[in-house]
Amino acid sequence: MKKVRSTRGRGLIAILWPSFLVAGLSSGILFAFVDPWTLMDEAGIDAGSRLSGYSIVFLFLWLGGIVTAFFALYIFRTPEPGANQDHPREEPRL
Amino acid sequence: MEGSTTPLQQELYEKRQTIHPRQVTGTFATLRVAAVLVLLGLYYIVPWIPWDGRQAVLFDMPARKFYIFGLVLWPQDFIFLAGLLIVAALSLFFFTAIAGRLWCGYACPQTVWTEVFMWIERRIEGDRNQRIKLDKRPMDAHKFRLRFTKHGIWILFSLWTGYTFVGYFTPILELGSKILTFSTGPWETFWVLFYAFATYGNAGWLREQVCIYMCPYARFQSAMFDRNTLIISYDERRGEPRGGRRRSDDPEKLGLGSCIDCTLCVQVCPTGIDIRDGLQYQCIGCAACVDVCDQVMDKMSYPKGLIRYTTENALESGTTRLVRPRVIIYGVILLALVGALVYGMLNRAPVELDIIRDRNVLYRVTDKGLVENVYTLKILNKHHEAHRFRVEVEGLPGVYVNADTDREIGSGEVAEITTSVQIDPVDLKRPSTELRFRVVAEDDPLVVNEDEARFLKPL
Ligand code: SF4
Ligand code: SF4
Repeated sequence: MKKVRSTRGRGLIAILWPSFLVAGLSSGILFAFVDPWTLMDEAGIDAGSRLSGYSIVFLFLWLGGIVTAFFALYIFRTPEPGANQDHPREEPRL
Repeated sequence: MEGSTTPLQQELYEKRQTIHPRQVTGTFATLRVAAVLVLLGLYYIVPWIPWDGRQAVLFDMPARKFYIFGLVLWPQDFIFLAGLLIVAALSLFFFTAIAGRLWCGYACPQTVWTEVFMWIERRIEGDRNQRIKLDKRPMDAHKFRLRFTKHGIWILFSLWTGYTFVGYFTPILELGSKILTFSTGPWETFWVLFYAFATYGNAGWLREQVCIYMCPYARFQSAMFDRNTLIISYDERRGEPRGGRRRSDDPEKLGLGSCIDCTLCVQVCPTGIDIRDGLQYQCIGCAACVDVCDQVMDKMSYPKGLIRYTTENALESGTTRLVRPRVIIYGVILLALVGALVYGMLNRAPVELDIIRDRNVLYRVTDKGLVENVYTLKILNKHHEAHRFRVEVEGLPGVYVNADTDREIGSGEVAEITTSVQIDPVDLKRPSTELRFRVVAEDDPLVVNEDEARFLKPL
């Protein structure tokens, strides 16, 4: 029981953490060139302040990364065709 | 798959067990405490330092300006920030090649904050053995009180850390008064709590797992290692065969090495490994095992240094080469980059100039028969003083410039200046001519920048 949980824990870290780093880096680069005001204006979002602009974009990028990482892990662990679905083989280790 | 766990699963399983490092004292422990005090002291104090009527170090995201003491960086100076980060990364490479994971053991925020959290934990719950006992004990009033106090203090400390962190990005005094009146903006609140939570989680709960599972540096640092890199190592030749004995025994007679197998080096290790098994990637080079082993050697009246800072080469042949191709290459690249960065900083343009052509009207012929083009000059004054700017145009003789430059542009201000340029068509040989625009402060010829734009004439 505990074994599985620790694998899950690592999976969670593998999803959340790299996407966090990449989101931070890409927002840094993005905002060096684009003012969040302009960006929010274009998107038609009433951000209220620049800080919200930064935050919304960062969280959005993070979410994108999370989805990507999750998808990658999901593909990685989908069993091959023909594998017994009721008794899946040993989960790939994350 | 019962009974046939792979080594990796086994490892995962074991790593989940909480590690309770025993407290260490000694040279390196003292050094680390000093590092913690200096680094955290800086972290918590720096945002409170005033400078010229503002916060000395402020990454003012709302205003899109970075202040670092006398230096002001704009989004346009992003390249310097990127350069700074690259220099920081390269220094880490350079440093790692020479001194191994010294960074991990003394300077990494993870280590530094964990050290504080463990100190708090020790003050409340006691040292290793008491904590292990407490862990096993069923929850009762006593245990609850200890746990409650510990987490309470951890959380308060984390909140203060989060507040300080956000204080680097928005003026800390203002933020403080907003917090006291419960009027912080939703995002400010979010980031304070986010950073507090990250601190609490990483330093309180995850600890060595951050180093083992999350840290990218821990994974690639071995690529910078060679046989001359400083590592912490157990001197196997001297220590083995290990074994218990009395102080008065002569190890030689018993056929034993210097290791008395007290397992103290394992008990103090924050990542829970046994250094005697050889160099392992989990070892963060904290030297806790060095300190404790030296004390044991002292007690046994053996020479110190059974576990010590050394290099693979030194262990084998007794010599270490400090200067080697890897070190030279990292060093040269680093020097070149730092040089370029300093040069670039010193020669940073004090004004930014962006020229936008009027897209609707390409050209116009005036009553006097001159060809006119209109441009919008976007001028950002990065100088620390306000200036009035003059626009000059070069590239052709007989150019008439008309720019509405009667206004001062304040420090940090962007102004759009409509500039019309008129040229006699006889001077225009080609349908499109390159012109050089210069904006220069009227009272300071060094505050200047140039850019090019095309001038079009009727075909
Ligand atoms: S392994 Fe990474 S997180 Fe851990 S101490 Fe070293 S640099 Fe810090
Ligand atoms: S083996 Fe020694 S130096 Fe390495 S992490 Fe453990 S106590 Fe620190």
